[in-house]
Amino acid sequence: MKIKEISERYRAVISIYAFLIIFVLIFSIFFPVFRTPLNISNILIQITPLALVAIGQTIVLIGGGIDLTVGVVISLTTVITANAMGLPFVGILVGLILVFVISGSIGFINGFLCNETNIPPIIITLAMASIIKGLNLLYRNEPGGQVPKILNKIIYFKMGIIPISILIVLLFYGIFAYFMSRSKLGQYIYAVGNDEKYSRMAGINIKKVRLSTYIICALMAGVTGIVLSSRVGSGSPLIGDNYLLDSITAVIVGGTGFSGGSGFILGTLGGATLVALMSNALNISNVSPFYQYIVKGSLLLIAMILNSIRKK
Amino acid sequence: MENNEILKISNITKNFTGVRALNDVTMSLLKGEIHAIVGENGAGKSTLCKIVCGVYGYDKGSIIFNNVVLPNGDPQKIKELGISMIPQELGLLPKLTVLQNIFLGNEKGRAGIIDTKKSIKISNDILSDIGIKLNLNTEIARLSLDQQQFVALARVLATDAKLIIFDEPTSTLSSEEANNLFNIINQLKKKGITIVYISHRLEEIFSFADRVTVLKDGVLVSTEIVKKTNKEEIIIKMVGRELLKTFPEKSRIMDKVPVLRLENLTLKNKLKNISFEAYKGEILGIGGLVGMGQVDLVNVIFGNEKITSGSIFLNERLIKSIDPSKAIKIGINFLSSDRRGDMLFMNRSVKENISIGTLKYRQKMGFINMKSEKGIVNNKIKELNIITPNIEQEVQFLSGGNQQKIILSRCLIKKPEVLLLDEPTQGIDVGAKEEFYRVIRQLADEGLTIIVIFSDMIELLGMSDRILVMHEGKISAILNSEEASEEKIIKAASGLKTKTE
Amino acid sequence: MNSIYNKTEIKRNNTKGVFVKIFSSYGIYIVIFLLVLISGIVSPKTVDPKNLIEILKNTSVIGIICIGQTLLILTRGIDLSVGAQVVFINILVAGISLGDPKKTFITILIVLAVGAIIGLFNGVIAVKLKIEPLLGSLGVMTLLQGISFLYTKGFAKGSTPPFIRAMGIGRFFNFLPISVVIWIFLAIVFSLLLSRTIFGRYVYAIGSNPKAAGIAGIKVDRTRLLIYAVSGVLTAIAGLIWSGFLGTPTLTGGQYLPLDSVAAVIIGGTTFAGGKGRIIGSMIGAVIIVYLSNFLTIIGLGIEWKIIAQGLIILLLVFIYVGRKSYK
Repeated sequence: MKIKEISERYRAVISIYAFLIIFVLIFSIFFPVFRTPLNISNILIQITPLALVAIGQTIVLIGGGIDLTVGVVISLTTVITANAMGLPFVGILVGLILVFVISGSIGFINGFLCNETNIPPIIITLAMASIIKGLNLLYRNEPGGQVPKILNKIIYFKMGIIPISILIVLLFYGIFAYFMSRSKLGQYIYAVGNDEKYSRMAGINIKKVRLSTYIICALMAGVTGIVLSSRVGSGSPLIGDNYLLDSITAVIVGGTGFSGGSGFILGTLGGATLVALMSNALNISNVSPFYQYIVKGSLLLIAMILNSIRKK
Repeated sequence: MENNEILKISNITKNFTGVRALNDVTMSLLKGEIHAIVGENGAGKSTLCKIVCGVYGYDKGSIIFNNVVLPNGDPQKIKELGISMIPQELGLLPKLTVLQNIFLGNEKGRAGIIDTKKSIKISNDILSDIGIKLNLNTEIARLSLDQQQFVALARVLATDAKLIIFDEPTSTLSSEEANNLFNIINQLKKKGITIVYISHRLEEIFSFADRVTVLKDGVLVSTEIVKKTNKEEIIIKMVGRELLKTFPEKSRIMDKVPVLRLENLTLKNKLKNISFEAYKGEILGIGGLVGMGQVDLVNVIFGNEKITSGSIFLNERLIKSIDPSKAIKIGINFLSSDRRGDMLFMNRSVKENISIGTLKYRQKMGFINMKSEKGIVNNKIKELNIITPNIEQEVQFLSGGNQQKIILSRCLIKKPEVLLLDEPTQGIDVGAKEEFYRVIRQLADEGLTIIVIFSDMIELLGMSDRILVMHEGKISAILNSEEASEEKIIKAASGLKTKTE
Repeated sequence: MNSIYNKTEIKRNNTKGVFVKIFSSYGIYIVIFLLVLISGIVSPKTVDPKNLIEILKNTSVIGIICIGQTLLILTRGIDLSVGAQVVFINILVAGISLGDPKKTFITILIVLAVGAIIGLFNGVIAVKLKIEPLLGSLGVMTLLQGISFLYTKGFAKGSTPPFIRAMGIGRFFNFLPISVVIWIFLAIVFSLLLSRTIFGRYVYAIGSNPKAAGIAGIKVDRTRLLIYAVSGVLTAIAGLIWSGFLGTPTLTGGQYLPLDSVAAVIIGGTTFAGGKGRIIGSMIGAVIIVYLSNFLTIIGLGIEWKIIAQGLIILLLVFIYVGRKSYK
């Protein structure tokens, strides 16, 4: 009885992981290269940034909003890490503090505007993304700078085929999954996403809740930027753009809906893995790189169709 | 504060922009009593209770509970002091589970982490106290309405409430479910909890309330001990005058010409084998408890929903597969009860709201004849006495009564043969209601067939030439106005057999 | 409508409401007047008639796209794939005609048909599959990028035939750009369509309250699909003019079109809640955006400033239209 009811509730999450397993199995069989340790290692590295940023987007969506600034925040943070960490040891600390302060502030502004004005969150974050991108480009309009190599050494240190970065991902997912299901604030985020009016009547401080979702999301985008720039070695004002659409795809594929109030952090992990796997699979199977776009676009559309159907 | 008083409301006044919702209300509640609050729509019942709970703040006055002055507009604090309300819409979050909803805003735990074990235990205790068994992990959206009601009650009980306010709790319940609720309320009373019960169903109040307060237009009319008064006195206090005289004279059409005929109409599990006829020039009232299929019936006739089986005949011609645009073409029109949501274009002008739907009669090659449109709209404004500064005014700025008239005039530009109305006088002030009754009767006299859903017994009896009572998706009785009585209607609405046509 | 779009804006009939109403109707004219004034003082080059005509010419592509975008946003839709559409149309024009003037007619026919199909595709996604139009159109955008790549296999070939080139760069009487004439003609046609025809009323009704529109007898889904198809055709026309500008096919470009067009429509007073807005507002909004770019370029500030300014303007204007949030 209990298993049946659990599977009913977590239907979306279970289906994404089932799909993933089937996908991996099929690909491993037809393309042996897929199974090689090197490739698996690569995949795990590629999953990292998307998985991290998608956590934040999941939380914002559950709370009933959306954050279109994640892409530019990632870009901005790569630029910061590449340029503000000059001095050997203190530099990194300063850089990290700067990253969190700046991304946190952006999240704060996003949440503040959502709380105080009637401007739809989509427009707020769209406009903010424009502004931040412009500022970023003003500071530096091409890739450059140098990220301290030690970051790469630490984050991408491999134990066998497993890079530390994926453990970082799992750590964050563990923390946030616990947070969303067991903490008061987590419950409140679901509540506000369900119905703002009733949440307020129940005594929940919706302003505080909403603000925290946007700040968490921006901070996670900051973390993503650090991890990404550590791998690439430099900062770029445009590198984050793709991650916006991908983060939304990952979240939707993972079972969280747009209207807010429901969704699973662990589902997003499945979604991010799938998106990253698809890119990898396309590369390996020697399919023309142009198909990437078609596959990505279709994936998003299919995920949304399924989401619509699920809702009925 | 006197010894056995638990709540004292003094001189509470509340204004919303331009409207005085409560005017100098003073009343008190006695410990452990069941106190009913009655009044028409818009009398201020919900507003008063929301103020007591802190959901709204008040402008003037004060409230004392258990010798403590309540903070103005602080729902969290007031909940902690022991006052809780179950709003009409229940206030539950649909995608969250029973357990989550029970403790919403009141989670048990320390340092921001929820103590699930404790929550589960407390929930199970409360639910078994109420006498209901529920799976704590079910999403609210998957529960039936009365189960949801119990979750809402459990939530209130989890806050150790000493004063519980119920706002129209039975409007969506069947009579068995309602009885269940009354038993629980009595149990709560035995535990010493004070109950406030808002309702407009006088039968319920007279069956278990101790005292009743009547509100009218934001003013407290009087508070009575239930045993020492009766329904008629209360009704007069609610409305302010003898009722029967406010309705226009009924139809005197002798020969009955059937215009609309339904045969064995079935809609999924909402309507079962409905058959009846509606005649030219009559007002056919549809009654029964809310949610018994009345709205579904009207939706099906208008084509908002597709029938599962059965047939509809208009003037003896079978109507195959209908949708709203076809319905309007063949002469059936519909006024939904949800004006804002279903019928009005709030940010468009009066002119557009009236002329939409009949534009093709005033056009040449797709271009609208502006002059003729203006003429027709102005005519309707005069005819129905719509109050608006000009025809370009956005409809959202008009009063409820005027908005209703606008929708009505839209339906009347090309007079339909059958007009379906769902709760047309909801949320309209008394003066506008009377005008409305007159207009509807006039339309019937001109030959329209009018089918109206009234949940208010008084309106139902006062306006209808015949009354069709529904129960659980079936027609339970069809009564002529001469033979109809409140008692018969209630019996039929509860599914008990009476004389049927 | 889910909450990422937020609730409806019901404003009270008080002084703030009146200010907003006036601003919605005339504010756009005030803004552009001020813009021209200030820029004229700071740098007289901007108001030189030759420059102004240049600006109008540069606005024609986005202007035509904005007509469709206005219709969409009015009915609670949106299309962010317009940039990718325009690029694809350019590639199609070059690829089908290969510069041959004899193939002009068939090329235009195919292009318009493709535009309608893409529009309809977006429409089916938004209306029938009920997918959030904003994200659905982003998905379509990605698909179109992929299709453009595949069609050209990385190497775009061919060129724009002379007639279509004329649409983009030709002028009447040596000074009035043909593209501007096409744009203004379409703007007037659609403006009249919206304000004077039954179709226009239906558009406003559907945007204002889709459920009520259905109950009033309007065929909502059908009309919305039609609007998407029309918008697709308009975008295709814009694509033809774009192809005329460029003369040769490229796989890049157009990435600012979707956001710019939405910004123009919003600045022009059309709200996301649906049912309120005018074509003329969007047209002026488009001019403001291009004018702003032009001005910034002239005084030596790059595109970064433009997108910053755009973001700020959107925030400011939408805030004026919808106001502060009140928690009753």
